[in-house]
Amino acid sequence: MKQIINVSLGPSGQDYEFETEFLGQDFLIRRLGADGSIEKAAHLLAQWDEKADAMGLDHVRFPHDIGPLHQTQSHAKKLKKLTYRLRTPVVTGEKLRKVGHEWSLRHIQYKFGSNYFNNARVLFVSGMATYTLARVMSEYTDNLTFADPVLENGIAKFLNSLKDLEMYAKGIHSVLKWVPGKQLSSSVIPLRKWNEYILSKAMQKSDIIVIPYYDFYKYVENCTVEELGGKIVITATAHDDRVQFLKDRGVNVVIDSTPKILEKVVGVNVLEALIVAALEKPPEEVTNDDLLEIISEQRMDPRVIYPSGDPKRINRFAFVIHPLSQEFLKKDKTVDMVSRVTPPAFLDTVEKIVSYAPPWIYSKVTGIKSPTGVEAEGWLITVGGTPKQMLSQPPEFTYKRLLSAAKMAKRLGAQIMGLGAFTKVVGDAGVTVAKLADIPITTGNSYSASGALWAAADAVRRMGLVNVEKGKKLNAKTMVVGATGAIGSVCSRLLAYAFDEVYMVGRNMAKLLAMKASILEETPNVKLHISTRADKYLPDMDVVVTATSGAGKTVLDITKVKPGCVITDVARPLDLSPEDVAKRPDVLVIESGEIELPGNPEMKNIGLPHKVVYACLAETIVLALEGKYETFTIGRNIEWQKVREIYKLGLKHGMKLAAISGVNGVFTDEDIARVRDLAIAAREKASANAALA
Amino acid sequence: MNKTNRFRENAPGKYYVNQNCIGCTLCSEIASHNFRINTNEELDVIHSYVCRQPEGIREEELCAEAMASCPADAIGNGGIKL
Repeated sequence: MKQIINVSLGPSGQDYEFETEFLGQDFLIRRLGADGSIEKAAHLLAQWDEKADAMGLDHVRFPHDIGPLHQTQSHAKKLKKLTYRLRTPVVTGEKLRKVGHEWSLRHIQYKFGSNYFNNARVLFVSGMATYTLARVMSEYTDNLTFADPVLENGIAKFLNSLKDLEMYAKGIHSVLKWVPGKQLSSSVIPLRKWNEYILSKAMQKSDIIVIPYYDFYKYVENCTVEELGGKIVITATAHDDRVQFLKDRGVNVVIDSTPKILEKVVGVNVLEALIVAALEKPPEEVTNDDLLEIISEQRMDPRVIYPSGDPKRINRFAFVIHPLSQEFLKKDKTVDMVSRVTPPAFLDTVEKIVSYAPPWIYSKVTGIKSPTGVEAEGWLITVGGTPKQMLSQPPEFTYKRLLSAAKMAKRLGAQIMGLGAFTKVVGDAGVTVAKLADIPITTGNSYSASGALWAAADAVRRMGLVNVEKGKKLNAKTMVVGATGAIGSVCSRLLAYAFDEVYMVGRNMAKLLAMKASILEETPNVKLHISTRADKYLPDMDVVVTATSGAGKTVLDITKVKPGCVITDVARPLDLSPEDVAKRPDVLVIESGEIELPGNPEMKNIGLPHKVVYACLAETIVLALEGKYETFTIGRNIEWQKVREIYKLGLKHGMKLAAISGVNGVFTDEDIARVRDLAIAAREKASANAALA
Repeated sequence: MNKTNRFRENAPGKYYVNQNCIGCTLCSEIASHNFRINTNEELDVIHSYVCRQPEGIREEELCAEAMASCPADAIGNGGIKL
């Protein structure tokens, strides 16, 4: 049996001894603490020389990877001096530590869908000691903060980029010349306290905190739930006491860059000593290739610990909204007050000025929790323009504001951004914005279409005029007006799954024929009829979906519709005007389906009941929950596959259909009952008339 | 780091606060007439902003000191001069 001695400068109270197997060989590993005394450590090393097969030195400060050469070298010299007389190889684990740092980040980024660290806000308590980590992290995010000046030199300044850190390490950064200003030096608060305060503030602002192994407790001794709650902590060799410490402070995830291959958590020095002893090579001859081979063969993956037990992941999104009309602007008290006493021109001016404003955050959204355990949080960012203003300006005007909103979203740490309401109608419907923005963009149209049809199905059920049997197709007739269009074709396909008879109305005969063939291939058991005129079959329909791009033209004569019919208007702008809808109180006209979010979401009022959001916002949230950070729906065309995919993802993440909305807002159960009663009365009247005739 | 990412609450002019701000409130202690804290708790992003551009030498000095003292380097003076 080979013997590994781990001489630690740490307390001797934590000594251990155990046997293990590694690379097919048996090892006895023993830790000997020197209680911080170099002399004692040197003595221990000498004592075990030639008795052990390899020795590890623990609790030594690793030389910084960056900084002036003389500093890094003097450190190496010191170590050499300590060990040069010894025959047994002595290692500190430096090599493995560096590989481990880089490997752990890359591995986790890859393992969690290549977007785990994307655009996160990361605070390094010591960038100098964790430079390798910082370098890798800078590939994934720009939001880096280094607390080196604060903790090392007591300078109340943070560094905000890798370049600053490199300059600081070389001793040429201007921050090193910093002296406290008048106010700060004459203040009664000691600078040390002030530094603790700003460090705590910086921790609160970050998503991820990187804490080196050495001096771990020194860095976090003052931390409470306020600083560490809900954070991801990256550290090395997280002993049980450290994990407990972080757990007590509400840390969500601990990422340990030291692989755990033995049943006990041991430092990198022990692992490297094990490798050296197993390979029977002097430490200098153990190359990076040897390490790579062992890491990949032994599956030395970094540890990811969820202190609270459950895997936890919070994804972040942003969503752009805008004031809907001048009325919205009146929500500001001053504007409201002044507008009462001034001519309407005042509000027009306010509207115009606000449309030039840069984007701002309207509300933070928290508490969305999918049944899969993933959580999401996000921000509603608003741009100033009302639809009227956006239309009166060239599209570039809105693009510019959307792009600065995207920049803001990125800075906030969002991983995907949705375009809400009118912002996705302007210009080419998100294509330009998606091309130029740094984060993925989606318009949410796929889920809007899916939501509207979902609502239609629900409305038919709630109206109760059509027989609904579970697992069976609806014995009813449905019509899609504008069936050859992008949304229309999607709707036809969906309805073919649910209804016995589908009538497709479009202007292009050839397209209709082609569509018919392709739908029958997918769903052979449906009766498909095609027509170029809606009016012909209109009086027989139970459900009508309008999805034309008529933009205000009359596409169907609502007076001819069967009483009790459910009309779903998926087109934007709407095909049916409120005046049309008012003509037929016995017909249910649906505009959209709103989605209820899982968990307990908190946000400012967006004009909907608690937990309920618009389907386009829900799409952004679903994509965030799924970690699908890609440009999902943009442009005017909606793809059938995407509609189906987002619907399924929505169900997976616990989305529910919350409400059915018409042109005048959400339908309550009473509204639907009223429409139903009127419809039944109208039908009776019609049949009585027919009998008379 | 993008220095142009300023908060929209900033009064237009030379000085501005960008999104590096960690909300330490030092600037509003130093130049209380010119910096203010955004206390909208719902936003969860407590930060300072320039509520009024400095007028006169005294205020200008205080703003310069606030800028030099800002721990996150979030205050800039490269905005448009009015």
